Amino acid sequence: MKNNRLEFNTIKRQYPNEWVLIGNPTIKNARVLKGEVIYHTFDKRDIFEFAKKVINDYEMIKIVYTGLVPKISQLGIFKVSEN
Amino acid sequence: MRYTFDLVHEDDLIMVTAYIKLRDKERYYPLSLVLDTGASHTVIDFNMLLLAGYDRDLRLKKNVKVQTASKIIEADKFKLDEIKVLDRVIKTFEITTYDFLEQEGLLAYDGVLGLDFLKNTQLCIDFKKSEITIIQ
Repeated sequence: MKNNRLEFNTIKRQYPNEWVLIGNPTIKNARVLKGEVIYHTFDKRDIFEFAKKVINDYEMIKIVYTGLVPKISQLGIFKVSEN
Repeated sequence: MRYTFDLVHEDDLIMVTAYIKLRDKERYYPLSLVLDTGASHTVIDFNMLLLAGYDRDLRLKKNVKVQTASKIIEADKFKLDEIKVLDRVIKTFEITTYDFLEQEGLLAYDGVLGLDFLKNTQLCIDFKKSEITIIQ
């Protein structure tokens, strides 16, 4: 696995439609701009498991998806009730 | 601090980065949350909490149900050690959580930032400038 920092557009091209674990990401306005690709997989549970193992090896990590996610225009309204 | 967002398409959402403090660490995990002023509570994917070092034993003894857009589901409550969005930092912040992978499938975000985080602030969403400011 290469350990160099890549632009997010490059990451998307190299690992399309995958979950990618980014090390020490540069984030601006909720977007990952660049970072180091630590791991990539098509399985989201798999990337969570891997991320738990390496989270202490980096200053910061971030899981991102490089594909298109179906947009949900009816996201809200969350209501929470306690009994 | 000002924050810029993009609402290019009709169904785009306002996303913010919420940094949650890792359990017993001085480091943070950056969550991608939807800013939702129609949500009463902040809701975060339970898998993100596990990643941040929380475990089920830390859940609060509260029986919680969450009504999403399509159904009502069981959920848990946790107290985060710290969460910060823009300049607003809250220590010991109670959040609602459930497993998004089980319930929601593929999502572009890790949760929802609700009104409980925004209480006692001056929130300004300037749609002309595509800017958010939170003043405490």
